[in-house]
Amino acid sequence: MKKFNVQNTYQLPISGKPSTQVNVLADPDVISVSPESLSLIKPKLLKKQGEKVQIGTPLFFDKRNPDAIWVSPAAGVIKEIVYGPRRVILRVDIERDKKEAVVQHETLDDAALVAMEREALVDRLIQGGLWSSLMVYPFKVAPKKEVVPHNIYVTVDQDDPFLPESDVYFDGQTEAFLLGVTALKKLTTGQVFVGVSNENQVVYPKVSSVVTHIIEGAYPANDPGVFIYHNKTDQKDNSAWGLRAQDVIRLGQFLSTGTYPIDRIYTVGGPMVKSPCHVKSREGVSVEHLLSGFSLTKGKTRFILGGILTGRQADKASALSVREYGLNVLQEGQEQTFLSFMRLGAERSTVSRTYLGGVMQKAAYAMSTVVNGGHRACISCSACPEMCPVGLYPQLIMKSLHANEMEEAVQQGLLDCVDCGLCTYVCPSKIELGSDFETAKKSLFEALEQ
Amino acid sequence: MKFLNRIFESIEPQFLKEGKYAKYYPLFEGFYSLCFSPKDVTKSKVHVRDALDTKRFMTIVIISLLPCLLFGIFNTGYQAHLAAGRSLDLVPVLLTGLIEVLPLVIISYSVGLFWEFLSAVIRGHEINEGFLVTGMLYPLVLPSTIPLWQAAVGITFGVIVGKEVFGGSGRNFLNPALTARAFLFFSYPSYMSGDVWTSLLVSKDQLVDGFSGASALAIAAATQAPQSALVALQDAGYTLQNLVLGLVPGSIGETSVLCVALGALILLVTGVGSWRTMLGCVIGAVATVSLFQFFATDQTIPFLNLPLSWQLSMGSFAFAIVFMATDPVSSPSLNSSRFIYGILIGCLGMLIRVINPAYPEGWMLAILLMNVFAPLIDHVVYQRGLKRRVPNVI
Repeated sequence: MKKFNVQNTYQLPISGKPSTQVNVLADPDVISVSPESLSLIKPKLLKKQGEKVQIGTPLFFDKRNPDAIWVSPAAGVIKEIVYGPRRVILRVDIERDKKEAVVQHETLDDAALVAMEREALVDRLIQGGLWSSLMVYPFKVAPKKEVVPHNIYVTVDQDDPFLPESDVYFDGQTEAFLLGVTALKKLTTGQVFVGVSNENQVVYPKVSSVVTHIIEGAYPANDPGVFIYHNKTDQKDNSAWGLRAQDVIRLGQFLSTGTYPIDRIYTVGGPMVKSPCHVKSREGVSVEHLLSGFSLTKGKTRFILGGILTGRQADKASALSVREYGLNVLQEGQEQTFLSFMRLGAERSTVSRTYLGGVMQKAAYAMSTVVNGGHRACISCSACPEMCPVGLYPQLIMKSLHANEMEEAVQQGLLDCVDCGLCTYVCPSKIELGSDFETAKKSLFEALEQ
Repeated sequence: MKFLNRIFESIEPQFLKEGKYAKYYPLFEGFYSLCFSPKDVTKSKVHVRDALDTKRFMTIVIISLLPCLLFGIFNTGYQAHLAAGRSLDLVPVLLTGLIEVLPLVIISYSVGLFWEFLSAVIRGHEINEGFLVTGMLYPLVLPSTIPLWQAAVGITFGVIVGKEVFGGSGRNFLNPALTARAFLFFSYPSYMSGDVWTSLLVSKDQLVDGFSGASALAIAAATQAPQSALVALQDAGYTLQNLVLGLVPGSIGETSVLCVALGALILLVTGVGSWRTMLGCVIGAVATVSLFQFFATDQTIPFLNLPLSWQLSMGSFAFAIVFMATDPVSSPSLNSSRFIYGILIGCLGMLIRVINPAYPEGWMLAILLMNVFAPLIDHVVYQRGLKRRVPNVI
């Protein structure tokens, strides 16, 4: 068992941490799929409005990689396909049947899986719509069928503010996780590395047979990208696969039951949610449905699908996509303060020690979405490299990118960036480092695809 | 305050993209954000932001400069009264100090801000709070005897050539305040040589007996072998205690090591100033002085043999390493290169001060020179660091 410590991590001190209590939600009438939220894919729909689908019927695929198929998480009729500007497919709404039909694949147990050919397993995963949940680094897209990864990295824990905790989503799913790991072992010629947080006492004993690494550090130490960065010794691992435990559990569930797994554990959290906790529901529920049973603090709100530092902004009608496991509700904006920069600022959260709040380091502050300052040029304060879990100098990469020196930026480690958002969070000049990197990676990806 | 905010909000549309005064948006933004925290909300995937902004960052530096400014005002008056043989009571001394110093501060801010506003409007970038610091640093490193027009010309040069031609705050590679001072130093050397830096309130023949006004550095540099520089300084009335307290002639804000230390404490506690740069400078200076003392004999210049404690409390050493060398924009970006940068400043500054008779003090030149070398230090350190990474290239 190896142990590694991730430097430069940060637990965002924001209030509204979900408790481990699990609320069970009734199924909604409409289930949605959101292709638009999946980055770096060009979705092509396989079904039209009014057509009938079952749970597990292929719904759309990526034009660049036809093996990446996403299937329907509900059975019923496609009620509406919502397009956005330039015919981006925002949502596919499926009106659920009372009794949902399921596409049934063969079931597998551990022994059958071990005996299975790799090819057959790959085909099974592609047909089942699970292949698209695998992620190839550095671009975090689904792999091509013929690609055999050098190694596969799995992290058990989730430390984002706020996404489900491993204690909750592992409840009753240990078997599925272990089966998923066995499947991953078939997919690679290398190793399957499994990392677990050093603070995890509950799940670790259950999965200790497959765990290879103990990970120390706060957010985003348990990101698969960070795991890859800290374990890689040669360049081949740059294109390793990285997975979160929840996706491995889904893999295991699919293989053992033969049906597409639709049950999910979500979190509903953030400063605006009263009594935040975990929620048991299914894939593709809308924000509105997920919030039923929760009361919010009065005021202007922002809904964030995914982590507070990584998620996507959404409205009430949006649905959580296949890769989103949490809903966070924050206050939108804040009342302006007079001579704000002259205050002591005991209620302000900062990594630095420039406000009293930064010196006191309380556990939780009710943060809002306000930028807390105007955009300025970089003053080389060197706050960002001290927040980078993969040892980058974000300010220098940003300067390379602004000078259109893509090659230089890549040499400086742009592709090691795991999009954790900490550099953007901490920047006193309020520079959008994260979006700059994301745009650069996107254009790099598109140039490579052509 | 709601009333004020409403005024801002009502005139805001005229400054926005389609508005009548869209060109002057930087000006509007500058004033609006000075009064009220911006109402902008996050647009990218990072939905919350740290409370620290550049305005707070620079405010901390200004706060840490206040002890130096206040003491500078007092000391300017004190030195002037001492020379003229007038009363040394606090109130008249402070009044004289205010009359001497305040115009310089006002000139520095108003002239500098004018250029800052002008270039922000021409270039369409936001007004960076960095100038608030530059505008305060600059008068503090000037002698109180400097004519106001020279101060205005200096800050003009500093802001335009030291900063704006390169794209404004954040893109300059020289410290603007030091650039301004260097301009004055080379253009009007008679005012900046350090011979007489005390404001004279009366004509020269009415000064008290024995007044020379020579700064400690000038005395130490002028001492001839085999005399001792220490004895010469003591004969001129300098004591270590005076130097640390700052009750000596010199540039307005840089005489008191104690006040600088107070400022350094604020910078270090808040983390705004780089401790690596400061420590590097001290190490460099201490090492160089030790080397001097190692080589000092009866034949060498007496300045070499001046004790370390005197060297570190004389002149502008403390002020320069705490406030000038730590300017983040003109320092190297990497933490480890900041250390190297500091050490080199320490060595170089001490060398110029002691060995080179042409310049009374070395820190301004040492820091400006190392500003120029900062990108090179960064490059070397960075490339070495990148070699340790497993490359992630395509």
